[in-house]
Amino acid sequence: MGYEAPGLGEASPVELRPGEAIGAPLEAARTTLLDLVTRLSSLLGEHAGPLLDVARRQLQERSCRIAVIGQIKAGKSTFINALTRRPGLLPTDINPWTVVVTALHFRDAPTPPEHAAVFHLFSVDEWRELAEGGGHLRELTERLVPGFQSDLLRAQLEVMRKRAERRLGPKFPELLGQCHRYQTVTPQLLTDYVSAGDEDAWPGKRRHYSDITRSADLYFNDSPFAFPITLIDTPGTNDPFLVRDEITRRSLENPDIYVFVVSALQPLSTGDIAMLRLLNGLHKDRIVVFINRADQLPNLSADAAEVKAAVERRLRAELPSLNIPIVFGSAWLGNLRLQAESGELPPPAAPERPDRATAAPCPSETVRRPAEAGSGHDAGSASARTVPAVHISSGMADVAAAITRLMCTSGIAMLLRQIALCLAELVRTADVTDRAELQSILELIEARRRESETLAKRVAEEERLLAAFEDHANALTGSFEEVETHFKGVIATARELLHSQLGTMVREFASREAAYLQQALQEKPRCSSWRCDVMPLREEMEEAYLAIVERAAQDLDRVEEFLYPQLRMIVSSLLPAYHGGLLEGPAWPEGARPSVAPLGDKVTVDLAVSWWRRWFSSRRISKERANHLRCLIEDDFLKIADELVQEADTHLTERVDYIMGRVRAVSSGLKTGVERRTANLARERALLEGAGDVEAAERFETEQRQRADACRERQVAYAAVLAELQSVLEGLDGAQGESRMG
Amino acid sequence: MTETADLAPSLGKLRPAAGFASDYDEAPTPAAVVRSRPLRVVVIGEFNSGKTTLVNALLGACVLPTSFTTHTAYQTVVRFAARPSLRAEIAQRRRIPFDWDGLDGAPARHICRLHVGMPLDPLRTLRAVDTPGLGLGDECLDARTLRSCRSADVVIWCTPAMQAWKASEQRAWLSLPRAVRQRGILAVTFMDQLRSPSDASRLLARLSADAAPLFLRMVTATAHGLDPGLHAALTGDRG
Repeated sequence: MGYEAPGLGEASPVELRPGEAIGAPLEAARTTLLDLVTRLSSLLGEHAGPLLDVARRQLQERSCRIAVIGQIKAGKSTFINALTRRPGLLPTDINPWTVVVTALHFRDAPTPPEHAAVFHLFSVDEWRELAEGGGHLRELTERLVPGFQSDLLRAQLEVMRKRAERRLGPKFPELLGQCHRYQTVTPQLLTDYVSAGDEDAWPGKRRHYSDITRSADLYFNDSPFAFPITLIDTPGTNDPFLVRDEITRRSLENPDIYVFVVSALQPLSTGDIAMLRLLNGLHKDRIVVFINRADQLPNLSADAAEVKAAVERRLRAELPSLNIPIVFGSAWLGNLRLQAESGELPPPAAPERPDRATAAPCPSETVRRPAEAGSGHDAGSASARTVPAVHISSGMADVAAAITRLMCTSGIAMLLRQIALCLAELVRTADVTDRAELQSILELIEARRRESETLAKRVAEEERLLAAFEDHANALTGSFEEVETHFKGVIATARELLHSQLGTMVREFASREAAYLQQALQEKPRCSSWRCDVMPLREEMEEAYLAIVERAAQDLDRVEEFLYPQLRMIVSSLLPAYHGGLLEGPAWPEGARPSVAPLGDKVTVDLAVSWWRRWFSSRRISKERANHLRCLIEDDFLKIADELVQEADTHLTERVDYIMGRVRAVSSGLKTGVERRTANLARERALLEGAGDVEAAERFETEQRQRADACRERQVAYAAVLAELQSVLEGLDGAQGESRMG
Repeated sequence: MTETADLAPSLGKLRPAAGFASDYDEAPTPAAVVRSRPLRVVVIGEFNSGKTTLVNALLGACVLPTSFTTHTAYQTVVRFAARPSLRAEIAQRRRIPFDWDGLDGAPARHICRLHVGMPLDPLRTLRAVDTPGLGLGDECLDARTLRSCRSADVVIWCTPAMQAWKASEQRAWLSLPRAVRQRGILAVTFMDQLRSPSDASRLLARLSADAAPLFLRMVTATAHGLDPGLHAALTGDRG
C-alpha cells in the first residue's frame, strides 16, 4: 500500500548525516585565513605583529553560538543529542530536566581540551540574590498586584533552598563560588550538575549540584560539524518553577543563531508566538523553527502536512515580515536511527508504541464522515500506518542545512570578511613600501654606476623625500588625534540625542496609554479586556535607535573618508606611480548592526494575560490606575533606553577603534618601510663620504641587489596572498548571496 | 439530508470506551438517580490537550469529532436527548440545526455555542461541556472560556502527558476563583503517548507534588478511556 507523507522531506531510509556540513563554506574561509595569517607573519614586518595576533586569536577562538530554546518538554536536549550525533549525551526525562544553561563547545583541535567539563557554581552574592530575592523576576512580580505569584515564587525559592541543603548538606554555602573541572564527560556527571534530579535519588551517595550550578561548559574535540560550533542547551521556558525562567534569561549570551524548538503536538501557543515576536524584533534572519515530536502525531499521514501548513500560516500571519525556515521532524527518531546505525538497537522498522490512530477506539471520521469510517479500521490500513516511522525524516539534515544558510549571513561571516579585508589592507601597505624601496634601491645603484656626483645628488634628493615624508607622517599623527577627538564628539552627540529622543518616546507612549486607559475606563468602568501592548513602543524605539546610530555612523564615515586622502598623499609622495587600491572607502562591513538586545528584556506588562486581569480586579480608581500604568511603562522602558544608549556607545566605539586601527596599521607599515630606507641611505652616505673603499662599496651594492631581489620576491608573494584573499571574499559573498536567495 | 439522518449511522457504531463505561455499568450510583439536575462538567485546558477525546471517553461514545489540526471552535454542550440532535445557539438563545461538516470552514461569528443531544445513559446524570483550547492567541475567547467554569459543578483541567503542566497552565488555573478550583480535577491525558512505564510514574510523581495540590484530585486518561478514579471522583462529588 502506497504511503505518502507530504511535506515531510525526502522519504529516504538513509538520511544525510546531520551536521556533517554545518558551516562548511565558512570553515573553508576560516582555514584559508588562518593559513594566510601564518604566511603573512613571516612575510610582513614587526609592525603587523599585533594585528595578525588579534586576527589569529579571533579565527582560532570564535565559534558560532547556536542557542536551542523553546518551552519545557519541547525536546531541546533530545534535539542536541541528535544534531551532534551523540544519542544519550545530554540527559533527558519526562519531567522538565535541564535546569542549567549548558554550552557544548565543538572544535576539531589537534590536542584534546584541557578539561572536558567545567561547572561554575553560583557565587555567594548570586546565590543570595537568587535564593532570597528571586532577582529580576521578583522585582517584576512585586510590581504586579501583591500576592499574585510572588507567594508562589517565595514558596519555590524556599523549596530550592531546602533541597540544596538536603542534597549538599547544611554547609553547602561553602561550595558557592567554586569551579569544578573534570577530564571526561559522563551522563552521570551531567545528571549531577545540570538536571533537576529526583527528590530522593542518590540518597547520600552522590552530590547533586544542579540547584547551585550557574553554568556548564562541555568541550569536545572530535566535532561532527565543519565550523567550530557552540551549542547552548537551555532550560525550557514556561516552566511552572518560576526561578528557572529567570536563570535562562540571564545567562544566555548573545547567540549567533537561535533554533526554536516547538512540539508538533501543541505547536505555536501564545507563549511561543510572544517569544518569537521578541526574537524577531531583535535578531532578524537568525531563527530556525524546528517542529519536533512529529513521531507522536496521532494520525501521521493526515496531520503532518496539516500541522506544518498551519504553523507556516500562523507564522506568516503573526510575523509577516519574516521568512523563518521551518523544519518538521523528530529528534527522538534521529537518535533512534543513530543508535541503530551503531548497532545498539534494531532499526526502527516500527514505532515502539502502537500508533494512536489505529489504537484509538473512535477516530473522528466515524462521526464526521460515516461513509468512509468503515475502511479506516481494516487490517490493511493498520499495517500501512505502522510503516511511516521509517519514512519520516528526523529533520536533522534539513536543520543542519538551514543553520549553515543562516551562518553565511551571521556575525561570524561578517567577522571573517572583516579579517580578510584587514589582511588585504596590510598586504597592500607592505606592497607600497616594498615598491618604493625597490625603486629607490634601483635608482641609487643606477646613480652610482653613472658617477659619484650624481649619486650624491640622488642621496640628497632621497633624504629630502624621506624628510618630507616624515613631516607628512608627523602631521598625520597629529591629525589622528584630532580625528579621534572628533569621533568622540560624534559619539557623545549621538548619546545625547538617543537619551533625549528615547526618553521622550517612552514618556509620551506612557502618558498616551494612560490616557487611553482612563478614557476606556470612563466609557466602560468595568472593562477588563483592555490591555496595553508595548510592542509598538519597542518597534518605535528600535527604529529611532537604529536611525540615530546610523546617522552617527555616517558622520564617522565622512571623517574617515577625509583621513584617507592624507594617507594617500603620503603614499604618492613615496611612490608617485602607485595605484594599488589602498584605503578605498570605509571598510566597515556593510550590514553590521548595533545590538538591540536590551529591547528583549522582559518587562512587567509583557506578563500580559493573567496579570492584566488581576491588575484590573484590584480595586483602584481609574485615575490612579492610569497613573500606575504610566509609572510601570516608564520604569521599565527608561531603563531599557539607558541600556540602548550604552549599546550604541559600544557599537560606535568599536567602529572608531576599527577605523583608527586600520589607518594606524597603514601608516605604521609605511613608516617601517621608510625607516628601513633611511638606514640604507645612511650607509650609502657613509660610503660616499669615505670614498675610495672599493671593496666596501661592492659589498654594499651586492647587499642592495639582494634586497631588491627580496623586494621582488615579496611582491610576488603579496600578489598571491591578495588573490587568495579576494577568492575568500568572493566565496563569502557567494555563500551569503545563495543563503539570501534560498 | 438532515443532521439526524447523518448522525444515525455513526450512532449505530458507538462502542463503549474501555474502563470508564464498564465501571459505570457496575455502579449506577443512587445519588445520581436522586439528583434532579444533571451534573454540569466543564472540560477545559490548552489547545490539543485532549479535551474532546476526554469528553468522548467520559460518555463512553464517540459523540464529538476530534481532530488534531482543526481545534474545537465553540463551546459544545452535550446533554441527554431521546433522539440525537445537533443545534447551534445563535443570538438571543435561538437554536438552529447544523451539521459537523458545515463547521469545517472559518468559525461563523454569530454562533455562541453548540448543543448536542444524545440518548446515552451517562448523560442522564451529567451534562458535559467541551471548550475551545486556551493559548491559541485569542485572549477574549480564553477569558470567555475561563468564565464558563464558574457555573460548573465539576471542572476537569486537561494537561497532556508529553508536555504536562506548564507555567501558562498554572497561571490560567490560578486565575480562577478559589471556589471554582475546589471543584477541579486534573486529568493527565494522552498517557498512552509516554514511551515507558517509568516515565509515567515519574511524571505522576512530579504532578502529585506540584500540580495536584491545586486540585480536588488528579486522574489519568488515555485515548482508550479514563482512569476509574475519575468516575469515582464524579460520583463522590455528588455525595
